[in-house]
Amino acid sequence: MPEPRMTFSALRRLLSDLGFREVPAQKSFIGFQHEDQPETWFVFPAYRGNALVAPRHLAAVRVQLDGWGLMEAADFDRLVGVVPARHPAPH
Amino acid sequence: MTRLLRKLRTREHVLADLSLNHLERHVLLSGGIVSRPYRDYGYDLMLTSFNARGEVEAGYVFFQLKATDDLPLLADGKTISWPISRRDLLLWLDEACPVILVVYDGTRDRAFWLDIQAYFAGRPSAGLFLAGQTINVHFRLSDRLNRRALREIIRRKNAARPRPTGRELPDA
Repeated sequence: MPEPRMTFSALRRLLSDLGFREVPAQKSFIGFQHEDQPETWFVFPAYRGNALVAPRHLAAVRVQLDGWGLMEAADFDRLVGVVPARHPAPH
Repeated sequence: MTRLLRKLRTREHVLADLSLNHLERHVLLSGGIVSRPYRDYGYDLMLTSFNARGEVEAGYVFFQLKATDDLPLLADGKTISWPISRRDLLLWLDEACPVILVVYDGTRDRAFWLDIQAYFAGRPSAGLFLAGQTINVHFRLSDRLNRRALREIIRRKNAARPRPTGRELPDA
């Protein structure tokens, strides 16, 4: 399986599109909290925008977005490139 | 005739699977799940927990598993001394959620846990990285990995939540 790839700025955009806003967190960590559901949050180490997000953090996002009904795990896999795009069946 | 080089299943393989099985059992009994959707250096498993309604809770816990048939006890008979690499330690100390190191004792089917960030929180950081490639951490034999321990680990995970102040952060 290829390694998942997504920059932190892309992840930030994705979470924003799904209704999360960036909030302060302890130390230099970066927090996100859902606008409508305060119990729905993420906290990450201090990533630079152009840095690739570690597979373990993408895994956490994948599991939780799926569990919260915000994005199917399979869709997330496609987004981070671990599932090859399907080719149309030959006619 | 060429003899095929078959892969061998060693005691190390058995211990690795038993340690995973041991951790997963206690996590499942505590109402959580462990998974590894994507592989990552220095991390074996991720714990996800659920609230009383069965909904996924926020936050995550990472586990690194070690296993042995020969538990390295110090002279006091109550403390396990285990070497960890400096490279792993640097990664783990950067995490926003708990990183739990587990040592599994294959001879007695039991495991012990150590919260890496909490362990190093009270230690001066200056000396941590001056030593060699490894540094020894000490587990207490009283810190058995069981359901009570899992409840405490999940409590620590939940305490890592961001503290909203009601103000938006400026766009990065």
